Amino acid sequence: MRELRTALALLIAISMLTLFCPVMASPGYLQWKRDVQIYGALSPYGVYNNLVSMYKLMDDGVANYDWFYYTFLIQTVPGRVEYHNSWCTDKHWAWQRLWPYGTSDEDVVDYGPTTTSGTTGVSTTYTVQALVSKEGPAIGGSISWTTTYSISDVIVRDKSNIAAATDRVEWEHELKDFAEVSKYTYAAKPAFVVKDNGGYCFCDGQYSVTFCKKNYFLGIVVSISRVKFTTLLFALDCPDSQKNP
Amino acid sequence: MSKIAKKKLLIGFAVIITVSLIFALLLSETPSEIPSASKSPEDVTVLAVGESTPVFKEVINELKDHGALVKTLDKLPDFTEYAPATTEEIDESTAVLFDGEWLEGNWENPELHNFLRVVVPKKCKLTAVGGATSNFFKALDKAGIFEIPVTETGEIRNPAYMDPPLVGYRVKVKEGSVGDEIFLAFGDDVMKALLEWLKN
Repeated sequence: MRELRTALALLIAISMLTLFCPVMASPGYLQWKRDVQIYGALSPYGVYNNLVSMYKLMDDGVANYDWFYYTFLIQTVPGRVEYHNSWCTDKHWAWQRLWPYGTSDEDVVDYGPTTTSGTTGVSTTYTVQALVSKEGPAIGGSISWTTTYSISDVIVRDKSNIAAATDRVEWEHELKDFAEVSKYTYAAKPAFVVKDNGGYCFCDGQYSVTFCKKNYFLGIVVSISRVKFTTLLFALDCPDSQKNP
Repeated sequence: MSKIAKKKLLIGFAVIITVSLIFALLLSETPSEIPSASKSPEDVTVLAVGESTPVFKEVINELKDHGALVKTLDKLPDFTEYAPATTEEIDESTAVLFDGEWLEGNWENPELHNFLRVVVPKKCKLTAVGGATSNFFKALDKAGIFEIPVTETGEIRNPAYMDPPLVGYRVKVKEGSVGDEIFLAFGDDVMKALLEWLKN
């Protein structure tokens, strides 16, 4: 009889959860808006891929502000993998700045990875509800957005400054010279969140990748070559922000 | 509690759970997205517009070597005259390749804007190769498809202002939402970049 009661209580709990969870989560959701794919075939050094995905928080119950989410998948494929030579990945760098910066109309309100990590791993977690709740809307659900990656022999340097005067998010991923991680495809997944007062804003982005190779003479390493490629400035324009007011 | 009462109680809970699950399924339903498989050049029909520069000719020849069906257009199809038969041939497996130099003289051409307005909703891939590829986004802007950001101080922020060797644009469905994709390639291996763009 006791077991039966426990089982029934459990069933009720499950049924209530399945019934109400989607309803609670429905008031706010992330809607994908645009992808920008930046691709560099840099023979013989390697390949650079950067997929920037832009989302907007919909149905958040806040009239005065919009929230935009920029996620990145930055991947380097060294020549060792792509062109079957000895070029490895040395580092890659990502820089983004809101435009216009220096105003309080648009702000970077969260980003990740934060702080400079050691050589063990990187973790990025965002909970949209926490951000939105600061403004006091009646949003019932929670939306969490988590990215975790843990890789040895990588130093992540966080060079961001989210003060209104700069509105900058910047990361450098440095791979230990010629460690296994540098010999194969490496991908980082940073991200940030922008709060906008409904006016027009976009984000400038600039990216670079450095490849490296050992030079030998009579079987002895005599030098290391490093080759850096930098993209020019891109405007990462979220299509749903208000244009040209 | 009698056995009958217990049985009724169990049936009652079973009904609640079933109804709950049905509701949960209905409420959590999102628009379906049909994942598109990675394409090879043989699966792509290429409409080449304005074959004039050596790099464009080279790309076209390589695409043919990779098995793509390439149709060279001397002029843009007049959809007002031939619709809908011609437009039906254009779909997600179509890639329109513009010669960057041809675009230089045509990005303000209303016929081009009309062409873009017809083909973009069909989710085909639009691409500009070589020359001043920034004109590609100017044409999309003029056609009312992609709005080039302009800052409050009047700076025009064309995504391809540095004229990369290859740029692309398409409308696509992702995660149940309709949005768009911009493709920008740098480096000197244009063909590898193009094959990458065509296959995704």
